[in-house]
Amino acid sequence: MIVLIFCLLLICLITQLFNARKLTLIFLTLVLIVASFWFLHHITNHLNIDL
Amino acid sequence: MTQAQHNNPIYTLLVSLEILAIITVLLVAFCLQFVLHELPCPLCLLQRVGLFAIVISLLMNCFYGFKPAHYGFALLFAVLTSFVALRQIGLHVAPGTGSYGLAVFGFHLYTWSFIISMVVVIYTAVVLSFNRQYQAQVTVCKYQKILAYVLLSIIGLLLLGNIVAAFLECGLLQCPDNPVQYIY
Repeated sequence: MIVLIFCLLLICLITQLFNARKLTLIFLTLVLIVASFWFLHHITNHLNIDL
Repeated sequence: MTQAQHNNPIYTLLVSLEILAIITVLLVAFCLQFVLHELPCPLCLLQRVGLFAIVISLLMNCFYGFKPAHYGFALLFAVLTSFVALRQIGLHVAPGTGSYGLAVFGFHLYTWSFIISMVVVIYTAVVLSFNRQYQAQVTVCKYQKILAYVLLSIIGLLLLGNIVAAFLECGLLQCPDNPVQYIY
């Protein structure tokens, strides 16, 4: 899972290399969403609570 | 303003310094992982993701010119990193719950991560408030492009190293809570 997020970051870097600003923003948003959900999943999993 | 003008070098310098500082932190964490065999836990890896994302967001200023959206992303990732670090501090804050990893200058790495992300929030908020950097028709000059490519190469190499290390530690599945050895 964490490897996938790292790969998304690598894609962000590659899009910067090709000057594709919108793509960089889209992939950064994707990283933000996936990382946030993963963190939320971690919290709910370990505290055993329903949000 | 009708004539195109270059980015003010002061803002490029301010952003580059922030990027270099975060790269140094990531490099130290990466070196500690191998030199002292400090395997990062899942939350530690997520904090690294946050720091990488901050750097990539700030680097957009060097490639595409200064935009509030780039600083906005850096701030969002800094807040995410601080939440993750705070969660890990919370796991070990009660007496008798132990700690994870070694302490550097008296603080554990997750505490440093929280401090650094708070410094990033404050620093970025100050730098983004200078209006002159957002002037219309601003172009990125040649030496700023070279600097951006150098920074991008360093980040790319460090990111590739982290991908390989994370794969060796966790594979493609979820990482163990307390990793003690590489699975590959």
